[in-house]
Amino acid sequence: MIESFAQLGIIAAASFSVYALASLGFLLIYIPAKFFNFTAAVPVLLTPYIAYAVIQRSGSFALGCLISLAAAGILGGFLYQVVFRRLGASGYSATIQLVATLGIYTAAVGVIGLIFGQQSVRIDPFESEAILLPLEIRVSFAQALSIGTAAAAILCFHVVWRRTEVGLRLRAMADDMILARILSIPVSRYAMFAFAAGFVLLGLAGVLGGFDSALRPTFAFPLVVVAMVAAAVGQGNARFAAALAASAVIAIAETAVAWYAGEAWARPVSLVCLIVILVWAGTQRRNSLRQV
Amino acid sequence: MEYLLHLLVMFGIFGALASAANIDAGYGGVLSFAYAAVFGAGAYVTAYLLGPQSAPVWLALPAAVAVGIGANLIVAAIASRLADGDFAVATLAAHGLFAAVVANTDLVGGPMGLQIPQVQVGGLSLSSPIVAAAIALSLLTLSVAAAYKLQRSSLGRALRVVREDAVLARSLGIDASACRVAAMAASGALVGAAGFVFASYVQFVHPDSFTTREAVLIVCMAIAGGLGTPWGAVAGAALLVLLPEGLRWVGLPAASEGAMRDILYGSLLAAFVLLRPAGLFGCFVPAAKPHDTTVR
Amino acid sequence: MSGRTIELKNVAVRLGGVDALLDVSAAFDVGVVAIIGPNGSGKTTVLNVLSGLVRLSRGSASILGKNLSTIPAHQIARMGIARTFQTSRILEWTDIRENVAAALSRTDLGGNGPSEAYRLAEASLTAVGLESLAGVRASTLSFGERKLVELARVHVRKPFIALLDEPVSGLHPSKFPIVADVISQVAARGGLVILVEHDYEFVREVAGQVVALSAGRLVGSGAPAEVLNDRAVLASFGGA
Repeated sequence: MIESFAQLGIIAAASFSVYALASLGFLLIYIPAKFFNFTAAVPVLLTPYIAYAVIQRSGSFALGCLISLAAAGILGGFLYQVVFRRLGASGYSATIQLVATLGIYTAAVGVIGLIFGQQSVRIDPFESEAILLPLEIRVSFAQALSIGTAAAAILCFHVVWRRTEVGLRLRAMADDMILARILSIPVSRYAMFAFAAGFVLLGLAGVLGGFDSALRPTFAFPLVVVAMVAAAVGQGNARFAAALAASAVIAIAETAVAWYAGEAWARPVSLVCLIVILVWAGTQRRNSLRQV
Repeated sequence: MEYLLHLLVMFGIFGALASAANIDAGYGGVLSFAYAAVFGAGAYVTAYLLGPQSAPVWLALPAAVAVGIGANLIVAAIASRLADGDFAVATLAAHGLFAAVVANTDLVGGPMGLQIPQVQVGGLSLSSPIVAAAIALSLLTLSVAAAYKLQRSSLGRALRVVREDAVLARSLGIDASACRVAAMAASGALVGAAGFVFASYVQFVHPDSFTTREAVLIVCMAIAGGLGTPWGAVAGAALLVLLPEGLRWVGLPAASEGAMRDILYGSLLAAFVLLRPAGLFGCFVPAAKPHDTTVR
Repeated sequence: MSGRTIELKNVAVRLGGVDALLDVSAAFDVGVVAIIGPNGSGKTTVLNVLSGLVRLSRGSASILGKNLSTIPAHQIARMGIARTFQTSRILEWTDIRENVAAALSRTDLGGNGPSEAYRLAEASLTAVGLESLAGVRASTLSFGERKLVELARVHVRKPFIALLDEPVSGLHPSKFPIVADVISQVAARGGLVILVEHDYEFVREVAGQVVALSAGRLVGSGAPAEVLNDRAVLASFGGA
């Protein structure tokens, strides 16, 4: 009994790791562009495919990760510079930007489908090797890598966010962009950095998530849903602790539901959470004095 | 010739869907992405009644319409609590829920979908291309007529005030919630009926017919054609049903058709909403003003 | 219920963790009442409560004996209550005539059609001096012109109760008499006008009663001369 709960715990921890990375990435790109940005799904989707392509050619998993994550970062910075900086300056409402990014994401799914075809591909560098812990708990290399990477990322993130100049300035921007400008923070430079870093984290979530499931063009959406829940819980004010807590709750709930009712019912869990959180946050905002 | 008729059926059905979206978004100011789910709900109810339950047609059609109204009213209830952006995401999540539930419920065929036998009404088969085309185009005409009447009615005038400023509307004595509910009930009925027409024509409902691609498509048609006028939906449906056919003629391999449609719908949606939000013939720009949520 | 035109009993409103109003009690019948106080004192919240746009946390508010907490905002409006907003709410995409005509419901028109609505709208626009701009698109208006459009909206409804939020703020002083006229017309018909204002000159001119709020509490009430010269009241405004 304890063994199977512990095993489920490992699964939940691995899910949480992927979700946490996606949430951190999403909240970073939320700082300069305060709306539900569907282009966040692009690095989640694209990065593992690029990694796969590089691995096929070079045989090196490390090189595949490196190149694909770098590509994600560059894409993020580029998208901010070329697209979102202008959209923000042109006074488009949050809803219009949201709808536009949904269009961009849909088109991107099409492009990926066109290039890689509809057949699914897998990244499985460890070929299902695993570590055996006491109590016969099995941790696959992939799960260990996910949990380890996420732990390291969260730690680094916390240090940068709380203890460095960069983090301080990003926090100011998250709170109030106009005030940040008045405080002589070079907002666009930091925004570009936030986008690049966010896309790298999202890409990382995509690669790690890709170990467990086969890659298909629609694979990114569930991860982004979780990231959005986290953003909604964080109320867009970059309350990372709350966002990580939300990711944990979803990971645990999904694992429990999957164990009890089957894999297929796990996906609706995050969707229900998203709707509930949005309605709750909407009701909260109604009682707040601040104009939206 | 058969293929042309098939195109007309799709044009009629999706035009009706886009028209429903126009009623909600163009007149009511509510931008929802849930239409593919409401459409799917109508289609699934039709399929379930006509298939496993072998119910008669005169039961299935009203059931589909009722389900359409009910589903869209649930969406309306969520809309009253959320700001525009959050609401759009919530409707996408609701769509995802519908898709997940339907794909996992064996009662309606699960991932295999549901097959239904041919439906005959007065000697005419609803799955025959000619009959279906006639029905679909009638439905489209009905939806355009409904939009036209709505626009000129006092409900339509009240809706335009609600659309622009719900708080102002209330302070002028307009029951904003009731107006929105009325509009969304009407559009829900149209969408449910479209579901019935689709299911009886194709004779097969499957989760893959109601994906995010369709959700994006319907909104894309409504926005590209133009919100706030009865004709926008027709123009948008014509554009988005004809363009993929045009691309086919250019000679793209059939396997990538799904991907090409994604690229087409996605880029058109983004392009229109950013560059020409009023669409081809529209007179209303969606969601341009932020929602004031500090008052009820 | 005593059936006074407006009655507030121990009203408290909490918005977003802040007490916008705390234990406010007051009653008004007819005439012109001005609410004064520094920013954030809760003045607009009183109007929001009376027009049904904000819910009470505690206490009760009633109009003509009817408890407001059970009546939705649009029905309160239909009872004959018209209001203006601190930041004018205008329908940007139509012309001014349409903006004013939109205030008239079927009952207001007594069965007559839209042309009657436009006629009445034009009469109200003339009353506020905007008749030459009747066909102009509302999005092109200046701040002061928007205030006057909102005033015309109130005028056209011939309301029983008018709630005006800073009706002269941002207006050129030469327009003040227009606002004073509309206010006195409502009062002359036996109605009640409640206005929120910072301009004490204007308040002295039009108001029969003044209520002072500070940090959500009632700190003074009475004739204008009394309240506006009350050192204690002005001190509690914190130098505003």
